[in-house]
Amino acid sequence: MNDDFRAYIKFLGNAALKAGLAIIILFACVGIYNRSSLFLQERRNLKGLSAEGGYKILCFGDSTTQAQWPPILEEELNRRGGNIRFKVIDRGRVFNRISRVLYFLEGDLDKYQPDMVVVMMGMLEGRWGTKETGWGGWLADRFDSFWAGVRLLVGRWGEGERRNGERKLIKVFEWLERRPKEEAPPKEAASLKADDYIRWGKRYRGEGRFDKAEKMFKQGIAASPGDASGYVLLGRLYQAKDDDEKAEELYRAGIRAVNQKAKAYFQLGNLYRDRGEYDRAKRMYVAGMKEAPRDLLGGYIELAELHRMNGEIEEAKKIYEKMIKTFPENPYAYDSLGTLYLECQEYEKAEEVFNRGYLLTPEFEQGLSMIYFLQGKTELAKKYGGANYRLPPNSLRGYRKLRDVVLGRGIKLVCMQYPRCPVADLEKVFGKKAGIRYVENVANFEKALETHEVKEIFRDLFFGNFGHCTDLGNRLIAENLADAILRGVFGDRDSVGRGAMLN
Amino acid sequence: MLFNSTVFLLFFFITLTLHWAIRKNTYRNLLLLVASYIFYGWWDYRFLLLLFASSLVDYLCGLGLAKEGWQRPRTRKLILSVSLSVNLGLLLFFKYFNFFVESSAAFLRVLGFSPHMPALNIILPVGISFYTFQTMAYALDVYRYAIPATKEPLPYFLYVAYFPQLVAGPIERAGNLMPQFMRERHFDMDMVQKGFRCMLWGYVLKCVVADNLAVVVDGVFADLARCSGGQIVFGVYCFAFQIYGDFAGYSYIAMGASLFFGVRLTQNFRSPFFSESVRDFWKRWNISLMNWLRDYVYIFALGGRIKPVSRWAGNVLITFVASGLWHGAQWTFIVFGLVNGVFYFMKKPFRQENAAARFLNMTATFHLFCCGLVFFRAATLSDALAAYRNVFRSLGGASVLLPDHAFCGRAFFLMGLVVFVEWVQRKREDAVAIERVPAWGRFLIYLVFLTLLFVFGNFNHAPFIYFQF
Repeated sequence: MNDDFRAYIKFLGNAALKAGLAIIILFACVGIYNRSSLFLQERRNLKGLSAEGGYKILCFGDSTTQAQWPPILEEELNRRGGNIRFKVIDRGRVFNRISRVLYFLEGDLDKYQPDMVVVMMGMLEGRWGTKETGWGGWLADRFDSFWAGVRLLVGRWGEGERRNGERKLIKVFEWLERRPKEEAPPKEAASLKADDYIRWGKRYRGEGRFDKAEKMFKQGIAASPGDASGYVLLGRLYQAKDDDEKAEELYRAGIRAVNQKAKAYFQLGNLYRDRGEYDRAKRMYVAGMKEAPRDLLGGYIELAELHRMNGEIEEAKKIYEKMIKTFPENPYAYDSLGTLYLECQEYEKAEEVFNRGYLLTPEFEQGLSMIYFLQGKTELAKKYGGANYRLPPNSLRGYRKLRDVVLGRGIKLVCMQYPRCPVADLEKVFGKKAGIRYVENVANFEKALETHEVKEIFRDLFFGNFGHCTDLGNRLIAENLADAILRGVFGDRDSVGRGAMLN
Repeated sequence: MLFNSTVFLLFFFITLTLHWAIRKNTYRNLLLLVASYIFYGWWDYRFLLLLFASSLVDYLCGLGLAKEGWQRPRTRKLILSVSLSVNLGLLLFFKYFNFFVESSAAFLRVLGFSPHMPALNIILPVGISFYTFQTMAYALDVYRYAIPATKEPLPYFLYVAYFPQLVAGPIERAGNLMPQFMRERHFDMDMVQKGFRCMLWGYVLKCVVADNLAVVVDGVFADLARCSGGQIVFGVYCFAFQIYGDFAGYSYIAMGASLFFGVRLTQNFRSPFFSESVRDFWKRWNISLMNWLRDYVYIFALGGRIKPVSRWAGNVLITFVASGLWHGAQWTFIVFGLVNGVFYFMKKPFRQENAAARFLNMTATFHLFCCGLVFFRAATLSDALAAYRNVFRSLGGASVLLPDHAFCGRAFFLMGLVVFVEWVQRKREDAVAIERVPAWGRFLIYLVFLTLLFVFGNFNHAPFIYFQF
């Protein structure tokens, strides 16, 4: 090696070191900025929260919400709300996605005890959001990938979570916004309920601390040997470690348990399926479905898939039909059967089944679109191919979960659409359920834009025809929402004022 | 292969590693030559022959000019004319053929003829204006006895094809580059650090400044007739900084990349927007081309500053028209050259030696340059004239929608960034001369610029504007 090359290699090493340092500093700066802005936000949220008798509104959103319209909303509500004292809690967060909101949701609801939850977000979900939002989304993505990479390197991925892309985002936010540490679980098995051990075990598993998770699941099994959940969870942990024998043993123990046996059958079926022992797998799924026919949607799908793979199409169809009878409200059932008909080129039957699924949940429209496309009905294909709000399926499920948790606690849910966007898209996400109210920001913004220039209302056009608002824009949102809350919740529900509360 | 593409970075890294892994200088040069031909061939391998032919002709002409028995003036002139005709012939054919055909047809139509002229579908080889000028410079320098003719083909062919400066300059002189290839090069940490700084600043100028401003500029110049005066003025300011960012960015990246190999290229820009007069401006803008035109067209061919004044003025105008024509075969470029030639005779409006006078002089010079730029960027002469009409008609009442105001705000920020950096560094050798800053400060500066690059950088691989010239 010549001297020049030696010097060059030395330079490369030096440069790599400095580049690493630069990356760490950059991310540390982003982290510090995030932490400090959250700290300030939390201080504002907690101020005056303890006073009794107030009506608390918890707002979830992204950067178009954080420190934007919530303070104005509080001011506006308190000015016009008469005797009622309103407290608006701002949980808007830059680059917010539903996965992060869900992670903290239960904690937030416990902590703030809100009477109403307002949600205005969704633009940053998935790749779709990233493309639309330029560098902001790009940065979030890089940030996300960076931490995902770090966690991958140190091998702290949760069991089974490799497939779930959203989890990595949770990890990032978990790191950015760690909740105060919960007390460590007691060591004695008798002092804790089995459910708590399971909960702790899942938590440790999520954090990648597999040894502790294993211990917790074992203690959970010891505390409640008649419940199959502990066996299943522990078995999946072993399976993730490629220890199939131990996993099988545990699933078998789960089958011998009293409660939740279907889960054990299902997991054992999956284990056999992965090994290629299809007949045994089928037997397990059938047994699981017998055990809990109304509980094991996955069992039907896996069983039908096994039949389909073996060319036993009629069998597969029968199972899917049975699945539809058992789970008439689940759109996946219709989607699966429709797809099977599609494969068999039975277009009429497929259309009928897809249509039933579509009527139930409009975002299951792709099947219809495909049918029309294959039949050469281009216009119809286009209609169903692009009509709906394109949230990634994971995010869609996330929003539904948020809805169910909030409504389940008896809290009112207000779904507010971004400025200048139709509320119909939002209705497709949250559905028509009692307790949900929709607020649209179209008429108010369009009216304001007649007399004001775009730049007087928006600071940028980050999302296409709208973006982050100026004070005036934020006031438009806040006034509209305040109007809607005061009229829709506290006043005459039928009257629709400036703020259109669409029920 | 574009500088702002991943494939270039990979290519650069591999070439650099191999370059320093090789012990002997000759083999290093050979590697650089092969790499340069790969670099050029990446775009279109068929034109490698053209590059080689242009180089070969001047190499042979150089040998002929230096041959002992051929030293009679007539013989030497004949050899030089072979070099010039081949190079100018290539340029004329690839760059100006259609222009001359179309212009002649238009002229004949004015005279009442209806000619049927052939128009060829010619692809303009990337960087042809740069490397033919370099080979011509070599022959002219040998002819003028400014440098001795080289017998070693490797350094000469490398001088023509050296990849950092091959497609968009700076137009190097053999006297600067060839000796650097001939001597033993060593890995010099100071040069490499400077190279990194040059590349970083170059990428910021290109990917952050130029490519972001392009959005505003494209919006304005796509529909000049419907733009308000204010929009056109803003668009032209943005274009001034865009073209500076684009071209100076390329030059900085070229300079930086070359420094990694231990070779110094000529500085092509020296804070031109702080020029106090138009004459000063052209000594700081595209320095290598302006020096080339000064040495070989203005002085060598035309005789330079000769009496009477009218002839001198004619020489200046011809030189500037040549500079305009060099950019491309369009009337807009010719008018651009002509306008700048006229401005060249204007003196500083304020003679006082104080800050206010200097500032006013700089502002005036910048605006004069912008006046010419309207012709440079407009698609046709009538578009440019429409732009002037609109500027003087009204400054408000726009009917063309520019990108939103936040984006325009960003444009101001980016232009401000360039002005700030160049102003801070105006008394130093170049914009990246920060050797005196302590190491942690330098690290901080790199960090800021890297952040800028990642946050605002446009990595859509927009080609450099000067590739087309």
